[in-house]
Amino acid sequence: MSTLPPKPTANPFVLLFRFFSSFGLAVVILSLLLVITLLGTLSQSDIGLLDSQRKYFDSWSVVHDFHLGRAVIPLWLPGGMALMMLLFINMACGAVIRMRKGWRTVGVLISHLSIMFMLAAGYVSFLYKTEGALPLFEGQSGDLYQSYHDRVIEVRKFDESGKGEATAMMIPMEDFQDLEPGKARTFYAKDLPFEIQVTGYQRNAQVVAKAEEGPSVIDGFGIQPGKVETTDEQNLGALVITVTPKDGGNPERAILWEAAFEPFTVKAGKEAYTISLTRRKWKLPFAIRLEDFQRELHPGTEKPKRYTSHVTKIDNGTEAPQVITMNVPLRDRGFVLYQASFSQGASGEQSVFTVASNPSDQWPLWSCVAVAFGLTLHFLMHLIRFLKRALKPKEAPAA
Amino acid sequence: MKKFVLLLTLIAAVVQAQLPDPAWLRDPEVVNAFKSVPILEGGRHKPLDTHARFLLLRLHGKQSIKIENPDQPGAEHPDLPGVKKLSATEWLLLSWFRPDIARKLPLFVVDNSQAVGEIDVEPKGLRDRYSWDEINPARKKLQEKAEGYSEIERNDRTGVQSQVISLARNFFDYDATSDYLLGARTDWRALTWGVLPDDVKAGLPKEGAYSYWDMAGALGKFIREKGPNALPPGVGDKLLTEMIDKVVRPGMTLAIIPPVDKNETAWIKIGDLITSVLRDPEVPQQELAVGKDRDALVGAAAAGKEAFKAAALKWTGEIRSAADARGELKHVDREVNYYKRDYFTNALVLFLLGFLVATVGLVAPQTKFARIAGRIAMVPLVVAMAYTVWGITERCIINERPPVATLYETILFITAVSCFVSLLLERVMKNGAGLALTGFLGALGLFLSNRFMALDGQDTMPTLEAVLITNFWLATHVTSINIGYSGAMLASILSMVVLAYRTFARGPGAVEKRRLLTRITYGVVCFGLLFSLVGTVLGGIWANDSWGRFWGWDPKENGALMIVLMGLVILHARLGGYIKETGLHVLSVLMGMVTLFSWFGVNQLGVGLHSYGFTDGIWRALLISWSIQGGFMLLGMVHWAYDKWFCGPAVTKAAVKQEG
Repeated sequence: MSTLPPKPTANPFVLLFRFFSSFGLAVVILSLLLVITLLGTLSQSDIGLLDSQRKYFDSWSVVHDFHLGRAVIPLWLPGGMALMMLLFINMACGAVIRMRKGWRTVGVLISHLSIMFMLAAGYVSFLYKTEGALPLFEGQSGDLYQSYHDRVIEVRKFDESGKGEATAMMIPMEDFQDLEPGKARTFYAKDLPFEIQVTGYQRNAQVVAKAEEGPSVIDGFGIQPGKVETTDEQNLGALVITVTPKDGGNPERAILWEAAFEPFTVKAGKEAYTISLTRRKWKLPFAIRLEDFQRELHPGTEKPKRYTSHVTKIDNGTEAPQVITMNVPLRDRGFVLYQASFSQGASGEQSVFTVASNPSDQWPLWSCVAVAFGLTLHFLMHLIRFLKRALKPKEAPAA
Repeated sequence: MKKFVLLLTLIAAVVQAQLPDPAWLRDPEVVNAFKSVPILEGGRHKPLDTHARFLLLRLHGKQSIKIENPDQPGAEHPDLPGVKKLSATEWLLLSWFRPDIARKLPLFVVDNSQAVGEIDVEPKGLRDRYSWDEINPARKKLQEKAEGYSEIERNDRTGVQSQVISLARNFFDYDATSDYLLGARTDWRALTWGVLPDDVKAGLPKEGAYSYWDMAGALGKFIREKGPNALPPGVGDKLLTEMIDKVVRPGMTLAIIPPVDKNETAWIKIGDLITSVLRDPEVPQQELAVGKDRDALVGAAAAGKEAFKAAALKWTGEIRSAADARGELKHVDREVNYYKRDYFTNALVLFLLGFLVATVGLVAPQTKFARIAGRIAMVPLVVAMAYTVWGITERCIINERPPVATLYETILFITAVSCFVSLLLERVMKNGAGLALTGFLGALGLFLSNRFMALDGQDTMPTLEAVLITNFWLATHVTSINIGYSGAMLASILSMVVLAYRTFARGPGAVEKRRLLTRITYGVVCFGLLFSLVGTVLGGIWANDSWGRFWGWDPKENGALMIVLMGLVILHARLGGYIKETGLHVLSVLMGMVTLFSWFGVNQLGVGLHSYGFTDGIWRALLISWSIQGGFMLLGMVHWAYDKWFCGPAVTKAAVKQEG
């Protein structure tokens, strides 16, 4: 890859452009990405994949604690998000705008554009992708999938007859995950007849009977914090809410726990509201009914060979049989259903599907094809030139 | 007292007479028949030979066992005259038919002698071997200790605790294996006649021996008709204990009976069959015949060598016919042949030979001597390559899948690709260095694959996880990524060669060769980068199809990404002029370190979807490799510092100008 020779200038924009398009910046960014990837990988055995991803790769900056014997040396590093943004800019400036264009550089140009497209796919996925589980027993149908990691406080409204179930308010995890004991925040909505104050969030906890009185003890029960599991799906969060009616009635306090069988119910006039700490749910534009789940094992072992779910897709009253199996998902209208796992219990066999909706679903595939083409073209051109030189018979030295 | 001793001797002589002569067990016809008996293990149909090989490898650290006099090292074994070594199947047959001899052989390899000290067995040296007879007196303590240590989290266990657990597993597995024919050798009349109810006795011969099959048939009928409570108090427990200890426990070691029901995929173990006989009056005769004919081998041994051989051929033939009828004998003979031909050991020897000859040629480069040495070296190297490729192909046919799906297979494949690329490099270099490199890489790679197999101690052709059963992705993503690993490792080794060469070789000729090698290294880095990048992205696309996410920051994915990033750092640093020859080689060695981390290190973290299981000893091997590579990086930095500070700016500028 060759670039236009730089001319001396004092123009700050030109200097800035040169900085962002430089090989030096590319080397620094790539090296830092390498370091971040190494640290993020090693940390997974201690803090788990999700926390490692959030700390090292989805972040703008990260402080990594290096342990040297008993000493801990904190080191600030740019996070994965910042580095990938910078890499995108660096490629746009250096490999697309600044690079000399021609037949010799066409492969490089294609591969850089493809990698930029891949980074864009990653960013779109980061922003808009939804992913969750849809577990179904044989004969059961469903159209809701529940996030693996995103917790929300969900307020649902029921009318006088107990019907309805419309979501009246949803507080996302980002707004309450920092509310450790001693910190509180109040949430309200225009149409809600009460405000909700949230405090004492514990990422993994048990609700236990407590004899002593205390600010977090409600009706003889309190939150017992537990060790945060490295597999986030195993964590069961809990927090304390105080519901204060807007009309000046008496506040009510309650503990919300992810593992609770029933939500907390508040009466307001003729209507009832349920409040629960739960995983975020999304609705599919169609429903799925599990007809039959088959688990094929390697003979004489308990090692699975294949999971297959025979399902019926129910769409506006039309039913269509489909098969979802390993490496063969069901795709429809931007939603993809994968065979994720299964469970077996007293109620029969349950098949668990992962449902994902990602606008950039197929972008990496297109990008991969283009990057492979670009790099192959470039390296082949180099190889041919090199071989031509290397295999050329050497002239005999003059006598 | 004398009469009593005489009686005991007589009894021993009678029992001994029923045991086959150990020489019969090494009869090639008998051994071959047993080797190719199909069994079902780990979800696949494999020859008994494979079972024996990997059992012996796990217990003993090798696939054969050396035989010598335990009291006089180097001398003949008194019970196995003229025998220096037993193959795995011969050892298994000895364990089945002559446990009295096999249990005295030094079998269990114990890395740390403190582990046997823990169970009050007299410790020997490091990595010494202990016989069943030596461990057996401490079996109760071994079991207790192992159960206690198993309660501790794996990562929190000390090395000795892990060794105790491993020794217990090996000891009790072998205990059951060497008891495999115990039920057939037991005098069931002497053991049970006195306690059996009359109704059961009525179903058994009034005189002479009866087998546990007869007893189970009669007992099963009695229980089915009258219920288990009809047995006199204590009798049920006694019979159950004897049956479990002498028949069921040893009989659960092998699934060797192909079921008659073609819809049934799991093969039957003797332990399962005897339970069926107790429970079900309608056990298929064909299945029962395989069980009874196995025991008939013990009786046939008393009738002489030919009778024993005939019984052995009959039994093994029965199993093969039944498996063939089910279409499950397909690759069994090929697998026996695969191990018999020992492709990779032969290739290792030939690579080594080629390396030595090519290295001799390098002593006097550009001479007639070097050309002749190069041509001679080419012969073993090409044959070694053919052996390696043939061996990998055989594995593909047996497994019915592309070449790489396990960590062991990555070593074979990466070795083959690296050797192939090195042979191509010789076409460019034309000085014998490519040949020496091919020989070195081939010998090193195959040696490492052998060590890995010994460390892992498990069948190298396991069945795959459900998500991996896709030939398309195994052929594209896995193959690409492993070609990428090959490129990165080859570039790293080339760089180490260049750095070493630079230390010892001086003069203008050396500079020119070094520059050529540098260009080649850079080309190999680009080759590795291309395949790593494409392989990594293909992996993402596979993940998107399988789990719904293109990238999940899984350790193995991150490892592949790190190789790509390292390649890109080298590429851009060179294009930007930040590194020259020495810098390129230092970073290329670093790329090799990153590749080793991705290849083996991430599996040891024990997290992620690609975690193929922990293999003891890998971290140690990795640390040794990293130390060597670190040493070369240091050497490169010394060269760089020498150029910068001792050769003077004029020299450096001249060198830069020369490099262009």
